Order: sequence, then structure tokens, then C-alpha cells
Amino acid sequence: MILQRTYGKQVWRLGVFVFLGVVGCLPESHVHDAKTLVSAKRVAVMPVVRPEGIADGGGQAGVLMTELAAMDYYDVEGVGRFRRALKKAGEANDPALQQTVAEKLHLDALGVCEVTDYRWTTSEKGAWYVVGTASWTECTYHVSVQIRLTSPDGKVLYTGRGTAESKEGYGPATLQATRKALALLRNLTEKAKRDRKEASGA
Amino acid sequence: MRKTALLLCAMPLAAACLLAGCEEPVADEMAIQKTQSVLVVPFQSSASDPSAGPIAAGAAGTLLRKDLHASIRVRVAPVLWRINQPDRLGLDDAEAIQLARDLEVDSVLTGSVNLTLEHEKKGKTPEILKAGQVPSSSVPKGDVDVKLRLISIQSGKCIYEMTGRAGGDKPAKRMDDAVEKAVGPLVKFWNRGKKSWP
Repeated sequence: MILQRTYGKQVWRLGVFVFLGVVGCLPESHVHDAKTLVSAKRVAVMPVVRPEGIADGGGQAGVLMTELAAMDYYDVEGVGRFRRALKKAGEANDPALQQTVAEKLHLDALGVCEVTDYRWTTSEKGAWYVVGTASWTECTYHVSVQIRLTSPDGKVLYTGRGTAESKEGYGPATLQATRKALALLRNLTEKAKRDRKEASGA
Repeated sequence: MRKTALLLCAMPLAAACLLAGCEEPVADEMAIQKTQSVLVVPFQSSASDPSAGPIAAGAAGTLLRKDLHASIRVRVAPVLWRINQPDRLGLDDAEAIQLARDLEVDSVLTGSVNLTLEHEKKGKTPEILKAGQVPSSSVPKGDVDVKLRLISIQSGKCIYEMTGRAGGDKPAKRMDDAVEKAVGPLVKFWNRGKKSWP
């Protein structure tokens, strides 16, 4: 019975995987170092790179910080303390400096994000009524992001990509894209929380 | 007769391939296979969009980390430049090599990104709108060229060079496609000969 249940679960998972593969929606996120990600406690989010002409890098960094904090697993902070510590230490682009500053601030990982798509498109819509016709222009907002968590020495721990669109505005699209990019990390932290709870219960 | 038929089939394919931007990489396959670690640094950007280089480097790093054999270490450049010099257009070769030496990796992946938007190509604005009309998109169509170079730290020579080109009106997709075209052959060279997939 147990075997049947396990086998059924595997087949169900395989079915979902094949379906997603066929429709082209395979997850674009990867956990590269689960051990470090699970043991990490403090994460600092770095300034976001965004395409020219978009003044929303700060907004994206805020969304990323909020979503990481919402996992209720990491202590998340902005770039402030890191920037101040760097100013004291020097301005050189030195990898050892990054590691030293991160250690001093007890940072286990750095969150890096790039906004790769941020635009709107319009489409003409029309409807026919008994009393006449109506036409209007509908606007869609598109946002894509790529997110990485790296260790202070530059090792890639997690990579995630998310794309979303919304009729409401850039805000909901940004939130959805960020959530998609962080989905696997969220699963990992949820599992780690459950494991910890079980271990403490036992 | 058969040769002529083959030639006739091959010619449109070659033309399509050239148009699609799938050029052959310049590579020293032996040197690539000897390399065991790589540092990805922010690529140099065209002046029209300084963000293009870091975005392409991010995509290249993600792709390498995802597809490369586990025995090859992938490192990304320190993020300090995001804080110290957020508007700079990328690292030059000397800086990139020095950074790779500091991080004790044996190769560095660098490159440049060139973005050509529709209105730059034609010398006029992408859409000339009449009063009351709205543009169909906030971003014009365009092409992106990602030129990648892998430099061996030991010899100081470029051991891989490849340009990926993609177009369209979806900035994220065209960048991903161009990076994949440029990085894909490198991943194949690197993984060739590795005994087992992790």
C-alpha cells in the first residue's frame, strides 16, 4: 500500500513535469548549495541593476527584501550597513574586502538582482453591442527579474528567474515576478523549518 | 545530381544560420577542458544602456552554474562595484584578470554587449504617432549582440570567443537568447569528456 502510494506520487510528479515541459513553463530557478542556504542566517540585498530609463531599482530591491523577509527564515537587511562598512574600509574592488566586511557584519549571503524586462504593451480591444460597438485600448505591464544569492566569496548559492505580467500596473507584475524567482528558495526554507520543528519535537 | 541537391539544401540553411547569428565559436578546446574554475565579471555595456553588461553577465553566470559539470567551480565577481561605481560600463581585461588572480580561479569570462534599437537602425523614432494614438510598446524592437571571451589566467590568452545575437521586442528574452547562443558551445566544450553528470 505504501509502495503503491509512493509510486503514485512519483507518477503524478512526472506527469506534472512532462506537462510543464510541454507547455514551456519549467521552473527557471535552481538551488545550487542547499546546505549553505539552509545554514545561512543573515542576508543583505545589494543595489539592483535595471534597464536604462527605469527609475525603479530601489522599488525592486524593496520587493526582494520584503519577499525574503516574508519567508520568516533569514534576517534581511538593505545595503546601508554594508555601504558604511565599505566606506570605512576603502573603495577598492577587492574580493577579500567583500569577504572581510561580510564577516564583520555577520552576513552569510548577498542578494543580487537585475530587472531584465520592464515595459508595457497595448492591444486594441473591441466589443459589439445591440446598440452599437465599443473599442478601447488595454495595457499590459511586463516585468522580468533574475535573482541570485551568493556567498561573500562569490560562490553562487541560488539562481532564480521570474516573469510576470499584470493589467493593473508594474507593482503586481514586479511582486509576481519576484515571487516566481524565489519560489524554490521558499520551498527549501519551508522544508528546513519543518525539519527543525520535527527535530526539536523529537 | 545528388551533390547539387545537397548544395541546394545546404545553402538556404547556411544563409538562415548566418542571419540568425549562429556563428562558429573560436575556441581552444584543449585549454578549455584543462580549465577547472571560472570567474564571471560584469560585461562591458554599450553607452545606450549601461545595465546591459551586468544583466548579460548575470544571465551567463546563471546559465554556467546551471549547465556546467559540477567539478567546475563558478564564481561571480564581487558585488562591490554595485555600491562603489554603479554607473560604470564594465571591467576591462586587466581588472578582470587581476580579480580572477585574487579569487584564485584559472579563467575569467568577460565580454561586451551591444544593443541596437530599431530607431537607431533606421535613424528615426520607432513609431511616428498621430494625435491620440498610443504606442504599442514602451520598448522598441531591437537586436542585442553579446560577445563573450574566456581568458586563461595562466597564459593570458583568449581561449574562447563567440558572439550571440538575438532580436525582438521582449528585452529579457532577446538577452537570454543571445547569452545562450554565446555560452552554449562553451558549456558543450567544457562538459565534453567529463565522465558522469552529477
